[in-house]
Amino acid sequence: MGKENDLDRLFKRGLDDPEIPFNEVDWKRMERKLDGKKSRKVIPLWLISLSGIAAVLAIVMLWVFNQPELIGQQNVRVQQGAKFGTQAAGRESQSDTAVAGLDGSALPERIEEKLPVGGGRLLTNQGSGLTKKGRKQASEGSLLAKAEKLLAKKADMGFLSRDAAAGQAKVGMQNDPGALPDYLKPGLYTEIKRDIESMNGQVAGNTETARLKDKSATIASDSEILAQKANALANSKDPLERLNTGGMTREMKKGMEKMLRPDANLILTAMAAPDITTAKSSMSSKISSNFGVLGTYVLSPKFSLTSGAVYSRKFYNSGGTAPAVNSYTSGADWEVKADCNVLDIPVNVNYTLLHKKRLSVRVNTGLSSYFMLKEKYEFITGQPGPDQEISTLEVNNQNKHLFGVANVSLSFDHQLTQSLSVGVQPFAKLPLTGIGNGDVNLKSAGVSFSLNIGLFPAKKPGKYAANRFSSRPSF
Amino acid sequence: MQGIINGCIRKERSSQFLLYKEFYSYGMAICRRYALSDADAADILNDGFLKVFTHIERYDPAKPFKAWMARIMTNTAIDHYRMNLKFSMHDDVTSHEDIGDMAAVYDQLAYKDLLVMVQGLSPAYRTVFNLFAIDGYSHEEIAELLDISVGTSKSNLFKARQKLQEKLTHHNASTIENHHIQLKYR
Repeated sequence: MGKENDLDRLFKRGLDDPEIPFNEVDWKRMERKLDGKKSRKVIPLWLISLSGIAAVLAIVMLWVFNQPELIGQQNVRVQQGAKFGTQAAGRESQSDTAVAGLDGSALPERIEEKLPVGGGRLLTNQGSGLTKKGRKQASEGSLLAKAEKLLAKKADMGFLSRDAAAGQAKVGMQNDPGALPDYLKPGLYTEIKRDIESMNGQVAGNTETARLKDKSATIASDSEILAQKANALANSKDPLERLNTGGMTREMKKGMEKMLRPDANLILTAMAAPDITTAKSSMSSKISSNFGVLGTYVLSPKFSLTSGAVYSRKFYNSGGTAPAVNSYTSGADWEVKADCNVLDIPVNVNYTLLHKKRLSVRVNTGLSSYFMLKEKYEFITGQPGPDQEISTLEVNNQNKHLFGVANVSLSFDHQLTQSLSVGVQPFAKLPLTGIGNGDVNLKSAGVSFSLNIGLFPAKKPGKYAANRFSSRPSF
Repeated sequence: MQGIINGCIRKERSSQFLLYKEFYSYGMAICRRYALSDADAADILNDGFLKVFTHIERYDPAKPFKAWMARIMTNTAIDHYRMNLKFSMHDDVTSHEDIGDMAAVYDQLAYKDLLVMVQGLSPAYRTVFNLFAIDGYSHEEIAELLDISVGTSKSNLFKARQKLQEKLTHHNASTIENHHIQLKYR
């Protein structure tokens, strides 16, 4: 077999170094290839992958930077909520703290600081190192402090002597601890409010006035509701109703829980999802696979936002019969086998349809960007056998489709612990544009399995915590 | 020539163009033999030239440039069809060693006719025939290059020759028939 026979010689002589004219078109393609190589260097693959991770980090940063403001809001709310509460331990000490800032030297300052909201801020600043319990105690005593502040202010403005003011604030409580304090009675409060408004007119006289009035009005509105409630209780003929603090306690607890509830949270998800990917004229195909890491930022109990990076390996077959006009494969059966590695960057909005103790159901929708990392196509013409003609095409990092695919899914999550849940999510991915080198109508449908970890657990365990951690990311 | 190569090392587009144009015909001739079609051959050629431009600093000027480039083009073509190289085994190789002995009568066949015949072979047969009969590789080298056994290489060469012989016979019959038709209507 080693010797050169006639047939070999014939072909070697006939095919050796023919004169093939230079084709400018081929050089143009070569130039594009050379330029494409350069441009790929400009946008390396790691940068694309990094964009997905950056999206997750952005959500984390958003959460972290929102956190201090959230605590401040909670403190203020706790103080406002304390209007419903009892005047328990810490009342005296807190009134001292509040009144300490109300000597004569404080008068020229804005009255805002001495109003309840301002008092809240003062408490926040001073109590930043306090424990949660300490803050709660401080807030419970704050209402008395507010009343004393108001009365002290009235005294300082000449409406009332300072001693009388202090005595007026405490007299009712000392004489009859079970009864409502005087400052909760509507008549007195209204009088103080009127005085404060009068003072505002005298002292402010600048642009601060409008804001001050707004705040006063808000406080007054809250306080009036409280006062009306207290007044109704005070005037009630039923002694049991007058002494029934259970309802108030429940209401307070409800308010506290609502106030403690964070407005946002972050959930990290590891997911794996088999799917069936099809194109137009699809034939049977292998199962495609998806693996990824996603982050979900919880916007509200109902809404959350999900993004991340999912690596997909998509297989699909497409086939048919070539049209007769095609001289090369005229009327022949053809088939394309595709094997594509895709980086999928989804951005989805999730809406909670149903939430029970451990189960929650959500509908998710959004858009995905596909970065085609590697595309392998095998073109087959003719019947199976040695005469079957096969050619291949491989394209790397040449096609990307920003927000080119629509995502729709339904997720079912089961809460395991306060910060851990598992989920199942049937999904469909529908192209909004042609995908890949062949611009095919590439659809995927499958089921995603996920493990979800709450990175920042709830401050207070309860049903809302379960709700948050079951707000699972959608793929 | 060395100046062009030095320019290519410096990634100068003008030098790359000159090198491409100079060796276009030579490279394309190799690619066409391994390719399924001329369009495929152009893709393989450009993939091969991309490797040439990318690794040109590895070229040893002491050796012929054509040989270095031919090796790159051949390897690129094999890689292009590697997924489709479905080799088949035949036991009766030795009994047909004389295939092709009658081929001398076709010496005057045109380049295009021969090329169409080679391109009509399946990728596995085509690759082995090209490597052995035209590019001068041994069966041991082919076996290593394609990751197959020497026996598989031999059997595929035998089948390739058999197919080509059939094509030559068919071509000859058609040519004679055409010649008779032309004489009849002359």
